[in-house]
Amino acid sequence: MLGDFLDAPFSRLTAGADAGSTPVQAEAGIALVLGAAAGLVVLVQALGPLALSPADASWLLLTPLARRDVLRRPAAALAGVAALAGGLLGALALAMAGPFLPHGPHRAVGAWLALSIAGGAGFVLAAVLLAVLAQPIPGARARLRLACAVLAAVVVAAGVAGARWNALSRPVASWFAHASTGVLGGVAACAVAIACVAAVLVWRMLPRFPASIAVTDSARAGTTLMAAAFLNVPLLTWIAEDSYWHGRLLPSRPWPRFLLSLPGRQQPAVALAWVDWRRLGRRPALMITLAASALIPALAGAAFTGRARSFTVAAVLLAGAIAAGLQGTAATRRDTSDNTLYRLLGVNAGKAVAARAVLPALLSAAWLMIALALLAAVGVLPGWLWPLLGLTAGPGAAAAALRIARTGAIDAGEQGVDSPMGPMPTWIGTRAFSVLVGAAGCYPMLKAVLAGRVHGGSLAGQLVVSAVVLGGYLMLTIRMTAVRRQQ
Amino acid sequence: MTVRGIRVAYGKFVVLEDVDLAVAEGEIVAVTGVNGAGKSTLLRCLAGLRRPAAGSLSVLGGPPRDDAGFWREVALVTDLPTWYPGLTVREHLELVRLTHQPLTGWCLPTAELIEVFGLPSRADAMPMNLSSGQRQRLSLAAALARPSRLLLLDEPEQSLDAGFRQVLAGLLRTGYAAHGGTVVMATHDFDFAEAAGARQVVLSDGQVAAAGQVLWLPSALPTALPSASRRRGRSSASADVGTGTTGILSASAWCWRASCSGTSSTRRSAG
Repeated sequence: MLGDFLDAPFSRLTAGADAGSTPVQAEAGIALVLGAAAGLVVLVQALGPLALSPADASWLLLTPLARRDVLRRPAAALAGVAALAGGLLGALALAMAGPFLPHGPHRAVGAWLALSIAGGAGFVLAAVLLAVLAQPIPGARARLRLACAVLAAVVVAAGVAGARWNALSRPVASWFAHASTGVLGGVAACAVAIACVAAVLVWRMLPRFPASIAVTDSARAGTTLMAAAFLNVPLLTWIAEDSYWHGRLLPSRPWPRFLLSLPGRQQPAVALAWVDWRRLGRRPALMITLAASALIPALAGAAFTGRARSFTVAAVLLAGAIAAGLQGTAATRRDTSDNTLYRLLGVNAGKAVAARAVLPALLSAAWLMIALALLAAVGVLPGWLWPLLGLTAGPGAAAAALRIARTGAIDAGEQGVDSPMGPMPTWIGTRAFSVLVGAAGCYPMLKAVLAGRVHGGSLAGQLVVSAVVLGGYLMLTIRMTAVRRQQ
Repeated sequence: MTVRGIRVAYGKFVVLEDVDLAVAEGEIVAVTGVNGAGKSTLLRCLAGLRRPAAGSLSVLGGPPRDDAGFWREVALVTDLPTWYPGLTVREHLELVRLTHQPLTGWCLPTAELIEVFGLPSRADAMPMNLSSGQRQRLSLAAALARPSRLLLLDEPEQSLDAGFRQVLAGLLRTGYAAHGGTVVMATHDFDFAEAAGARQVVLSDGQVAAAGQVLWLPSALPTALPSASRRRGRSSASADVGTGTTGILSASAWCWRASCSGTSSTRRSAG
């Protein structure tokens, strides 16, 4: 399966237009590559983009050493990584478009590959260096992030729309038909020239790069990298959440009246669960991004062929549903990390867990419903029952999201348990188990996606599995909490 | 609330040894002692977060237990809590009140809490955007936003300015305790404890060194006078530091009236 997955795009690099692919797949594939490039720039920005190691930031920045000498090495490393990642994305883009370039790659593979790598490296390097230039300017960071998000959303939406309507995909396909080695060379030269200009500007800016910005961003980058190294998703989301709320002032609103009218025994738990509803209501951009991300499975479905397509779509659906559910668990994650406030609220643990499961279940269900509706709309999955299947699978995925949110922090110093591959930290097992819980909760849906067909039995089966997995998880959690307290 | 002969050890390191304590309803008790004397561990035992290896505890008529029923009666303020993202200061306080409906018992309304705790200009801010002192004020305000019978405070004075410590002491004495609430707090601030009218219990080397009312305190306290360690299993390094209280008492630098728990109520009502 992995071979199919890797082979699908790259086998098209040297294939002709009659290799069984359609222009739609090329466009969707390139849209995915462009979306990945935009995501890469956002990721790099989260890491600084220009940052030092915590020790260097503490000891070298606030000394009489020339600022450019201190920042030269991290800047060069950043440029190197950006060029490497950009080159890879350029090669991937060529692989996606390969069969539809009649004057192209199958005749002079080496030249096209080199030009694609140069072009990709140039564009991504220019974008990353632009992020460095924007780093000290107040507000510029947010504007660049917004531009990347808009670019990603537009290309993903265009890719999906192109898969549905030929009128949109035809002009792009005709451009592919006329692309030649000269045109690609011109594009690559242009990208490299832009990158060179950006590099000169960054080089001239380094001596006056503000130390305060470098210190702050280096500290954040250090924490983020450590979290990323240990796949510490809760910590990463914690950093992102705090970064969003930093410095914000909100109008305090009274709590909804219906909370006061609830029966006394339910009221505390529902009020506690309402914290996440309010938080999401105050983050409309997050909700829009979440809704827009439901396009990704459709795009993946349009970009891949063969067995790789169904596996890719199933994996993206599962990951997306769990990620959507996690957006409704911020308060749970805080309480897992530190339950001081939770104790002060004096809420019954069992009722709180149950009340807090509603929002993740709804978010996962809504996300799956949209994603599967789009997959059906672009023709990747035939039939009209898919959105209903997504709706019923939501609670199953929410069980995984809740389990992840309630999993304790990763202990970086943990010795781990012995395994044939050496000491294995337990957090790897607990997190893998959470994903397995999600896979079990969505099993009928995933099975239907892999088979490419849905029927009433799938719906009924998914309904039962979701109820069993989420209900079982909640019951087990409540029981284990009670046992832990008695000990 | 009674504590009888409790013993707590972290591995071979004994933190509390044969500690006895009795606190009456409506009383304020300040547990003092040098760093590492076992004050926070004692509070954790009272909160049911640490089970003693020996001895017995009775809090509000039974052993402390980490469940909702217990936490509806007991409010614990220790380290600064992790606040919920996307909620303002005012909304956090409202949430605390909302989860304790119906409010039967003494507590302050949100508007008054914000006013008394000096947070009007920060009421619409996220707690994460407050200074450490303001966050400490918010933690204490949240504990007083809801009714409770027992208030456990671990160094409530930390990060607070001197003026507000007096305000807080007055609030505990004339508000919370005067309405029947019991307070047990670990503190290093003797002025604060005295202003709150607290009966003081001194922990030293994990044992109750003295219990009574502070009448006079020297302005400059020695902090590392040598003393013999009574604690079994202590490392030689720890025996050299943190034994100030025993040393202070043996040097007669303080004037204590021992075992005068009866005087605390007199002082409280007088204050």
